[in-house]
Amino acid sequence: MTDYAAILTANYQGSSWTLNGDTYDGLTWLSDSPKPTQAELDAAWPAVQQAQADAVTAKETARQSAIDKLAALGLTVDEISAAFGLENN
Amino acid sequence: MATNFPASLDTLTNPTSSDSLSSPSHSAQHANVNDAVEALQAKVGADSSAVTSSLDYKVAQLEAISHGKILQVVSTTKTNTFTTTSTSYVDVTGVSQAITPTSATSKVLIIITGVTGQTSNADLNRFNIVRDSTNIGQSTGGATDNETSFIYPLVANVGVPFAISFLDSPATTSATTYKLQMAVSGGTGTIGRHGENSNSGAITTITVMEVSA
Repeated sequence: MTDYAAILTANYQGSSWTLNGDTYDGLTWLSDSPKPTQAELDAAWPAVQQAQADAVTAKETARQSAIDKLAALGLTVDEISAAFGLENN
Repeated sequence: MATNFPASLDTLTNPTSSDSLSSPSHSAQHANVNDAVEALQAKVGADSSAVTSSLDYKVAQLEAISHGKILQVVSTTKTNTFTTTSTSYVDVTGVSQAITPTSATSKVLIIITGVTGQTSNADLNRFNIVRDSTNIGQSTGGATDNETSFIYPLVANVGVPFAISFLDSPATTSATTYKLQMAVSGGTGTIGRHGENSNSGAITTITVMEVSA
């Protein structure tokens, strides 16, 4: 299902709008700029989805990197978990 | 046998067709029933009884209580989401409820519950309860902004439960509509979902009660 709220949030920053429900029909455009068409938003969805997935991956990569660096300093898995709440995968 | 009522229930003896008038005593039977009936009358009480232990007196006291009664309850539940980036207040579609008070002195209790979220950890969602076109339940303590309530999640894309209530005095017997309005300080504010993540949904409910003054 296309997440129009996510697309609008990612690609139309600074615009003002409301979205009732999850469908394009619920979109009310409050800005002076032109209201994006459903086709434009649908076309943008794959890239937004990919960006969301990339963000999750980047966060996980950063988390694992932090664990690895702390372990390299000599901290045990239990110490890392107790001090920072980071669980090793 | 004197009656024990109302301290306890009496056990009255029923005579049989072969009993003599003296055993059990016919007069004693009448006396027992008379005593029991008198005890019942005392318990129930006469019309407009002033005896505080009588049921008539107690019922009249309860009927005389006119304040604080729930006279009617109406409610609407929004099952889908609402999302906005508007920094000016906008109606949250589907979170409104009309009520027609039966008395101009009645109070109206508004209760709104739901889940809200923000895509930005540095922004907040603001809420107003509106009666027709008038903001009600407004704070006065904000240096720059005053509203009915706000949620500052501090963490992006988490669902935060909220409950807003206000006891209004509309002073009317005309149909009156209460609704929820929302604005954001920035970012994207959501109702019924936790910010960017649309995996989980939640209902939003507005309940309006007329309470006798």
